[in-house]
Amino acid sequence: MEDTPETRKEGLFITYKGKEYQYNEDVINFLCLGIDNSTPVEQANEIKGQGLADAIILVSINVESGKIKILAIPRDTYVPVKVYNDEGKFLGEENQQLTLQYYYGKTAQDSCELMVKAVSNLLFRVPIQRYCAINLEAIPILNDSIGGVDVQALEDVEILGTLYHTGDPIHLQGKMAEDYIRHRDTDVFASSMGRLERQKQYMTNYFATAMAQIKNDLMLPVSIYQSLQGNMYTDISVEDITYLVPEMLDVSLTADDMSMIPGEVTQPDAHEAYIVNSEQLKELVVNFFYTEVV
Amino acid sequence: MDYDKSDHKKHVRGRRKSSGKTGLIAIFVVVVVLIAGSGIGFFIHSSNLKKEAAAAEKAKKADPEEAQEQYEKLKEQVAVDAHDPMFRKIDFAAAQAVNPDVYAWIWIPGTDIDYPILQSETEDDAYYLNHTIEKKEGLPGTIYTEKYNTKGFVDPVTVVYGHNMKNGSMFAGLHKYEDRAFFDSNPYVYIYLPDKALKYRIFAAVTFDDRYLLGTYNFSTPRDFEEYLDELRGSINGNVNIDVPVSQETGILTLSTCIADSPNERLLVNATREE
Repeated sequence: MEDTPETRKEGLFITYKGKEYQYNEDVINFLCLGIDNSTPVEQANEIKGQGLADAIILVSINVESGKIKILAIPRDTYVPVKVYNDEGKFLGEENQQLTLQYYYGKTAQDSCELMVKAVSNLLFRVPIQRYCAINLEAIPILNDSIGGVDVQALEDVEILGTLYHTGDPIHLQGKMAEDYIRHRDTDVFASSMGRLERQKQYMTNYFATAMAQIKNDLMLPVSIYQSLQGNMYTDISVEDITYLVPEMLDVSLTADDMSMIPGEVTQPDAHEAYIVNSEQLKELVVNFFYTEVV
Repeated sequence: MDYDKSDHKKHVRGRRKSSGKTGLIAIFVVVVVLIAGSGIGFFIHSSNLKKEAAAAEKAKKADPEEAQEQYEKLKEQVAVDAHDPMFRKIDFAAAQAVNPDVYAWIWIPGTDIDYPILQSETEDDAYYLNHTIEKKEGLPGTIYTEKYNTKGFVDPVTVVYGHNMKNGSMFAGLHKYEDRAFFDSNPYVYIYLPDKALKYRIFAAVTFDDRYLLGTYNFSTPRDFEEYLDELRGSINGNVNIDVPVSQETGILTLSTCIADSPNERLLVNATREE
């Protein structure tokens, strides 16, 4: 059983249901994490400062066509989490909510890399080229840098003490944005799903508002990037941004471009778990990231 | 045949003067008959040699149907069933009398996989891929491990190889695990050693490339072990059960066989020790 290098083709290939597919090399995947913490993301040397990954979103940009796709991954997705002790020694794996994987890094970089690996494994080893983790302080900064974001209440929702009814228009400013996309009532079963809908909506509207502004100010993405320093940990460079922005000027992001990992919420123990539907996820991954080799 | 025609011509010429033409023709005919006779004799002799060689070759060559019958007979001879698979007994002394390289036995209930496992310390790595338990050359080979795995099934990863035979024998039965219902309802593999029985729980049956596993990873390092485990569980082509806990302590038993029509891929059925 010898290794034969000449039988390996260039590129990433998979076989699924008897057909061959190739990973589209024009697609770059960014794993975006929202960390439920206010401390500066880069600093936390103590594990307790790391927080949990409350929002987990994979942004896929096709740099050739400029199209964007967004894959939302529920924080409660049940996966084998790699557990490390305080010294960074690997202890083993435990099936837990995906959000907990972030906790086990000694540094922000460790945590991000653990999350990238966990999400990549979940998506059947799809390559993830970049990551970006932002904490709670980053949200008002992002929001206000484009002059605020308008949304329409999808359900009855309370923002900073004010109750809005389904259908009410809301102009999100400052901490309102944080509350809108973060708030969930932990006493309500599957409340993280409702929040996911709000997050999708916010992203869509944010994108539309931002793109309109960027057309008038091409340096806006870089200045947003700079203003997030201290509240963001990422391996995206300024060069990456200046490369990507021109590719995406005519891009729109609609609800059709957003998907969620298929599965269902259960309650195996004290915490909710989101159990992935493996067969449906396979279909999604193949359609999302691969093209059939003809 | 060291026949020198020129010597004989001189001899004939020498005799011509005394015996005359008839004698010459007679001698010529005798010579021709001798040559022809030797030629035919030589031809028959070498043909016989070839036949003997062919027969010897045939005796050394394995025949899959015959080999399968032998495996069946061996099983009947050495395996003593019990109600609890953990109490099944294998007569290793009898098996080793057939071939001392037998050191373990594998049984997967729900399939026809019920074979001795061999390992050679001296032959090349692929010896038992194409030699049977009787050391005859050819298919179906045996179920075997390479000398890089210890024989106690305590390594982090043990790789067991077997052919995917068209007649359904050897490791062909592993392909049943491509069906999810079968995968869910037949999760156990039993490995028998002279001093104990081991129960394994199947956690992944996946299509993998044909890389040489024991050469690609250093499974004793947690990083390589985890990487392999991630790759197995992250395979989009196959069945995986993430509820089965797998660690370096419980190890991975990888059963490897070929996939028809796909020579650059392998079907790997992977299990881990369960208490």
